[in-house]
Amino acid sequence: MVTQLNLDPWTATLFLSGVLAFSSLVMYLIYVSLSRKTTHSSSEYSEPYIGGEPANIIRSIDVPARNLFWGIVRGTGRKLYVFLRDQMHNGVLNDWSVYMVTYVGLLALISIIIYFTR
Amino acid sequence: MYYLSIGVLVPSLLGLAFVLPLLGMIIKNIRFFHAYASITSLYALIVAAYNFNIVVREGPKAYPFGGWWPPIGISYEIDEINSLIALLTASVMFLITLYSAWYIRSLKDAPYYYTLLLGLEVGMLGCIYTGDAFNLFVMLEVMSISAYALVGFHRNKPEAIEAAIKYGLFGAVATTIYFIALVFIYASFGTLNMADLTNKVTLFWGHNLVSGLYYGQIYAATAVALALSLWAFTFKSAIFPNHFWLPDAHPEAPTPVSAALSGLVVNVGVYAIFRFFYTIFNPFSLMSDLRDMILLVTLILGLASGLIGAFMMVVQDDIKRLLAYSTISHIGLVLIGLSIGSSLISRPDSQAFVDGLTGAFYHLINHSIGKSLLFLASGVIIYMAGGTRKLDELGGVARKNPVLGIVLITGVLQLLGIPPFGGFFSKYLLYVSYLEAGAPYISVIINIISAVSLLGYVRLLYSVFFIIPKREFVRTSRLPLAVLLVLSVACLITGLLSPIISYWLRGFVEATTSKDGILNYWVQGYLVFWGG
Amino acid sequence: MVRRMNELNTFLFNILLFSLFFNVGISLYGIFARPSLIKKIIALTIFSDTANVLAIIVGYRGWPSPEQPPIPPVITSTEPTSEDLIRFINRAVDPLPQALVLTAIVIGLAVTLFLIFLTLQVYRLYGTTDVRRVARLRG
Repeated sequence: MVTQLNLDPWTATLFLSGVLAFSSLVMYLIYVSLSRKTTHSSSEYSEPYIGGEPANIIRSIDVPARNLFWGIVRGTGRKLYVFLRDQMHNGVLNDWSVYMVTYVGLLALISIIIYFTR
Repeated sequence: MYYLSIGVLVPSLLGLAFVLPLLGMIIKNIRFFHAYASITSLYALIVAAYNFNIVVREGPKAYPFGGWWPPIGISYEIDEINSLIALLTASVMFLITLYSAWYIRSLKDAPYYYTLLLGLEVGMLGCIYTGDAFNLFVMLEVMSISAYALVGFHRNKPEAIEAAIKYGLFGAVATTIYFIALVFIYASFGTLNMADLTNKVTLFWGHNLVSGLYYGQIYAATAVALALSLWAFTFKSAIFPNHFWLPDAHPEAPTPVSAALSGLVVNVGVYAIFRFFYTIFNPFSLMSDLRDMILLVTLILGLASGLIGAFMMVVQDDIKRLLAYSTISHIGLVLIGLSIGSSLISRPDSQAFVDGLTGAFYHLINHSIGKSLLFLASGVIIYMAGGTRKLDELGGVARKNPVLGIVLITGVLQLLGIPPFGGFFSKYLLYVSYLEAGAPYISVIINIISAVSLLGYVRLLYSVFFIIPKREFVRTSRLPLAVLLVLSVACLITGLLSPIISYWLRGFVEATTSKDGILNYWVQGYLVFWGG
Repeated sequence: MVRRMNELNTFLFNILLFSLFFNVGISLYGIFARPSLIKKIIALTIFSDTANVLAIIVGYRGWPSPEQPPIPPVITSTEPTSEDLIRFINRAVDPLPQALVLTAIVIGLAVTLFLIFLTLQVYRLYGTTDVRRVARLRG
C-alpha cells in the first residue's frame, strides 16, 4: 500500500530538514550512550604513526586556500580564467570602458532595430 | 488626507545628517556621535515601519511636497514593494550604524563618517520612496556622492582612492546618461511624474489638462530613453558589463560601508529597473514591445553577470573581494527573476510571472541580510587576524570565537541556498518560475551559478573555519557579535517562515504588477488629488 | 519672407541638435578613451553641460512667427489680464527644464569638485594621473 502525502515543497523541505535533524540527533545520542566511557591507553594509542617525521612538523603543513581549487581551475578553465582575470578585470579604466561602450552600442542597436521593424 | 510620514522621512533625515559636521565643531566627545547616529537611524527605521504599515492597511499612498499636486510638484508615492524595500534598507542600516560604533571607535573623523553614512541612507530611501523620475535622479546623486566619499574615506590609502575615482568617474557618467534619458522622456510626454507617466503610457484616461498628452515621435524617444536609463540602472546595480567598479569599490570601503554598499545600494538599481519596466512601462502599455526586448536584454545580462560573478569569486585571495564578486553573482540572479515579465517568456497574469517576481524580491531580501552579515563578520575576522584580508593568513579565526563561527556558517548557508535558510527558497522560486515559463535551460543555468559559487564559499569557510588555528588572535568586544547574531537570526527567520513570507510577497507582487494595481498606482498618485 | 525665416529657423535648430549629439559623442570618447584623469574630468563636464543644453532646448518653443519671438516664462504685470495670460501661454518657453538644469548644475558642481579632489589625491599617492598606471586593484 502506498500512502501519498500531499505536501507543498516548502513544507516538504522543512519537514525533511526537521526529520534529518531529529534523526541525526537520535543517532548521536545512541552513539554517545553506546560509546565506551573508559579507554585503555598506551603510548601507541595516543601517538599514531603518520610518517617518519615527528607530529609537530606534520601538523604545520596545510594547504593554502588559493591552491584548494586551483588544480581544478587549471585543469578545466585555464583559458577562461586567463581571459576573465588578466584581460577583462585588469584594473585599467580604459579597458573596462570598451565593454561598457559596447553595451551602450548594443542597447542603441536594439532600440533602432525595434523602431524600424515594428 | 495624505500621510505626513511618507514625505517627512527623507527631508528630516537629510537635515539630521547634515547638522552633524556643525555639531562636530562644538562637541568633541565621540560617544555622542555614536549615540546620535544610532538614534537617527532608529528613527528612520520606525518611520519606515510605520509607512509599511500604512501600505499594508490601506494600499498605495502619495505625498505631494509643498502642496503642489502631483504632475506639477514632486511627490513621493509608496506601494507594497517599495515600502517593503525601504523597511529592509532602514532596518539593515540601523544594524550597520550600531556596528559602526565599534568599527570607528578610535577614528577622529566620526562626525563626517556618520554624515556620509546617513547621507547614503537618505539617498537610498529617497530613491525608493520617490514618485518622480527627476527626483530619482537627484536622490541617485545624493546616494552616489555619499557612496564615492565613503569608498575613499581612508584618503591616504592608495587603493581606496583608486577605487573611489574609478567608481566616481563612471558613476557620474551613468547619472548624466540617466539625465539625458529624462530629457527624452520629458520632451515626449511632457511630465516626469511616475503616476502621470504610467497613465500616458498605458492610456487609462486620455484627457490630461495639466501636462498635455504627447509631443513628437514618442516611440523613438521612448526607445532611446529606456535604453539609456537601463544603462544607468545596470551601472548602479553592477550588472555584467557595468560591474567592474564593484569588486574594487566594495572591498576598499570601511567594512560597515561595504556591508551597506553590497547589501543595500545595489538594490536601488534593481528597484529602479522594476519601477521603470513594471509600473511605468508596464506589460499593458502601448509600447510593451520595447519593454519586452529590454527585459530580454536584462535576462541575458543577468545570466552573464551571475556566471561571471560566480567564476571570479572562486579565484579570489581577498576575503572582501570574494564577497564582492558574490554580490555580482546574486544581483545577476535577482535580475534573472525580474526579467520574467517579458511577454516573450511569460504572460502577465500567469503563475510563472508572479513566481519569478516573488523569487526576485525574496532573493533580494535574503541577499541583503546574508551579504551584510558576511561583510560585517569579515570586519570582525579582519580585526581579529590583525588587519590582514588574505584568505591564507586568516588561518581558522572563527574557531577562536564560536559565536563568530556560527554566524559565519549561517551567512554562507543563506547565500548558498541550503534548506533551513531563506536563500534556498528564493532560488527555488526562481528555478520553478522558469520551469513554469517553459524555459528549463535558464533554470539549469541558475543551478550552475549556485554550483560554481559553492567553490568560492567553501574556500571562505575552509580558510576561516576549518583550518586549525596556529597563532594568537586579538579578542573582540561584544557589540559587533550582538549585531551579527541579530542578522543571523534574521537569516533563520527568512528560511523558517518562508511559506508566510512568500505568501505575503506573492500578494504584494500581484497587488503591484496586476492591471488593477497599476491603475491604482496612477489613481493614488495622480487622480485623487484632482478630485477623481 | 516669413517662410524663408521659418526655414532658416528650422535649419539652425537642426544644426544645434546635430552638434549637441556630436558633442555627446566627443565627450564620451574623451571619458572612455583618454588616459589622463584630468582630461576625463574635462570631458565629463562637457558631457554634463551638453546634457543641460539639451534639456534647455527641449523647453524651447518653436518660434511662432518672426514678429512674435518666445518670451521668458515670467508674467510681468502684478494683476494680469486675460490678454496677458493668453500671450503668456502662447509665447512663453517652458520653465520646468530650466529648473531641472539648475538642479543638475549644482549636483554636477559637487561631483566635479569631488572628482578633482580624488584626482589630486591620486597624483599625490601614485605620482601620475594616467589610468593605465593607476591600476593596483585587479583580478
